[in-house]
Amino acid sequence: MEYEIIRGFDVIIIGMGAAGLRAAIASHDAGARTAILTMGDNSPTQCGATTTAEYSYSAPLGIADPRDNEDVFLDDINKSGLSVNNPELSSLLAKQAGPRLLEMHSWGVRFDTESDGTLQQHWLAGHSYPRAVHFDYATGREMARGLHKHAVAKGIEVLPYRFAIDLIVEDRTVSGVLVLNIAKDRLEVITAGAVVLATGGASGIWDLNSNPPGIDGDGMAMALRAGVELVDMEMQQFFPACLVSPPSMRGTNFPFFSRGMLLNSKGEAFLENYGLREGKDVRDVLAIAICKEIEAGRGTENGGVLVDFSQTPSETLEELTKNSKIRYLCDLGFKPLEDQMEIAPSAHFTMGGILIGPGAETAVSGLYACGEVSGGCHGANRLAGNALTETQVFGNIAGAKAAEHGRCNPQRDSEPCVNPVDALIGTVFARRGSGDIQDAIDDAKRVRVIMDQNAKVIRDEYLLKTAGRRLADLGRKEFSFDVPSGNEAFDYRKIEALKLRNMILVAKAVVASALRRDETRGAHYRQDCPLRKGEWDYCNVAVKLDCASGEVATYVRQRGNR
Amino acid sequence: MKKKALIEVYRQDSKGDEGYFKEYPLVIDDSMSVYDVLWKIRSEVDTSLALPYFRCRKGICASCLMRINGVQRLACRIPVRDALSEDGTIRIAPPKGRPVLKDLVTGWGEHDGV
Repeated sequence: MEYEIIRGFDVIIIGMGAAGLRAAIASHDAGARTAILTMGDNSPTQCGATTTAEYSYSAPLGIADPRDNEDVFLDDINKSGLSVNNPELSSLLAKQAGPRLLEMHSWGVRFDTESDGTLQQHWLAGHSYPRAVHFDYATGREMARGLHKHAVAKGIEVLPYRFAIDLIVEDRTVSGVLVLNIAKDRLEVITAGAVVLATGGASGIWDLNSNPPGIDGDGMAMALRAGVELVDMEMQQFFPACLVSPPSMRGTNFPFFSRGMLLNSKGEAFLENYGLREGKDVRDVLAIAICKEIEAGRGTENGGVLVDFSQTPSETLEELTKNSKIRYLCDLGFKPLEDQMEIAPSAHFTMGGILIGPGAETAVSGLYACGEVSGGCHGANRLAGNALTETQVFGNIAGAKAAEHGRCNPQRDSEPCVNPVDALIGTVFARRGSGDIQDAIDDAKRVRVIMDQNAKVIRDEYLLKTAGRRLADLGRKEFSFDVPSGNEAFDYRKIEALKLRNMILVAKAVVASALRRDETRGAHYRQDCPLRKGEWDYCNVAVKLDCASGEVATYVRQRGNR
Repeated sequence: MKKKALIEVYRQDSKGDEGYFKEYPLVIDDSMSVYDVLWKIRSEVDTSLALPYFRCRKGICASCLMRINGVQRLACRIPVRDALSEDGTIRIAPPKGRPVLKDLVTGWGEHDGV
């Protein structure tokens, strides 16, 4: 099989969001020759979900309230995680949130400040004190800008237009990555002494999701195939309010719902019926209440509920009109503060992911994971702002550890083993199947619909088993993709098609984990087991891939701290 | 409101090639953004059209910066009804000053690796 070999790196980072950029900076600073692979271009405008992250980075700086500190922050994370979170990882998140933020700020990443120049900190639901540090409603974009600039200035190489197809692993040791270079329409093998997965979450496997395209669990699927386990895959955060109409705005987050009233299609306020208060509750309980109201037949035609600002004080509305997203909706001709907007919960953030230890290490030697692709630090519900925090804390750890490993790994410049590379290529390309690229893209849409219909906010055994069957049917189909020949550069449909097998695998992991956890906890709501069960305290569902059958299997991991 | 529109899209096979405009006559909902129209063309009319893969869908990432009827704008931020010229056309070209890699996919000049 034909592919180009690219050598010369100690560490390869897959993904250029905030976690990947931070990992690259840490790896470079530890003396490793480091490169970042990204699907998009070499600019800070295409940094995955980071670019679109709106509001905040959580850090217990104690500026807005001096009573705040790492211990209170950790306590909040643990309360929200409902014992699903790995306390070792959560503790790192709480302790390093502040120092990582201040470093980033010193590199030129801007945050909103008070008139005296101190960082502004706002309160968000679930946090004991105000600790949300932000830059307008585009905090993620600003972090991407600043971190990308910092990384490039240090001489870190970015390899753009690359889609990672699979990790090259032999004897439980990673030695590189098989890549589709979409700009050249060629396969490449990039060798390295260590690899960091920073490809983001899996919200893209649901149809109604708030993420930019491409966040489909690719890193999780690659890790499973490499023999690494996933944890907590049943713990998917659904953002309570995402626009479902008009069609062109479907999937746009509408965080302003908390400033207005949520009404059902009859115009009745309903949150109180579920024991909730307007604007005060965390995301999991809100998403469940909204979905129950829609399931009960009191949703709109488009499957949503309404956000109404008619009772909102005029000064609040005045403030909202300055918001960049409200302005965006107005530019497109909508009246988001006057008309009742239709919203429904959307897949937003994947709490579960690759099983890592406190050094961001995985069970494969030389393979690390950080950011949303990894699981464990948030547990059953992620607090607002903690996603950006996670990117910096664990990006930094993963980069430093990968550098240590990659620099002294003699494999980094060796010839890639032809057998595993050819085998990997053979599992994807030049197979004799009935499906072509368009069929694969259509099937990817089917995966999203299955997940929306059967494995979203409200789950039960019947729904999940149906999802499992439908996914298994899709998974049996064979495709015939040609080996890239260099003639079809920038045909991004190839990436969409290659993602299908990743999406099916990760969707199966979610469904199997959700079936296994026969209780309700945090974001995971089983209407057939609506209560939390003590026997599940301090337990995690782990998923592995059985290489012989190609199927996922779950088991329960118990932690000692009962 | 459904409207007849002639969408003229810039095409260029690869870096350094001559560009040209390809016409797509469509009947479209005029509340759609220009960017959504491009995706509709790529998904339903002409799968060979290369577009930037990334899109934030909220008017902030600037991946869809394009020249629309000669004016540099974010394609996701302008509805068809505001972009249609009097004769019912929308002409969409890459942004000024950026190297075209293919069709509407543009690079940054340095370190594109293309």
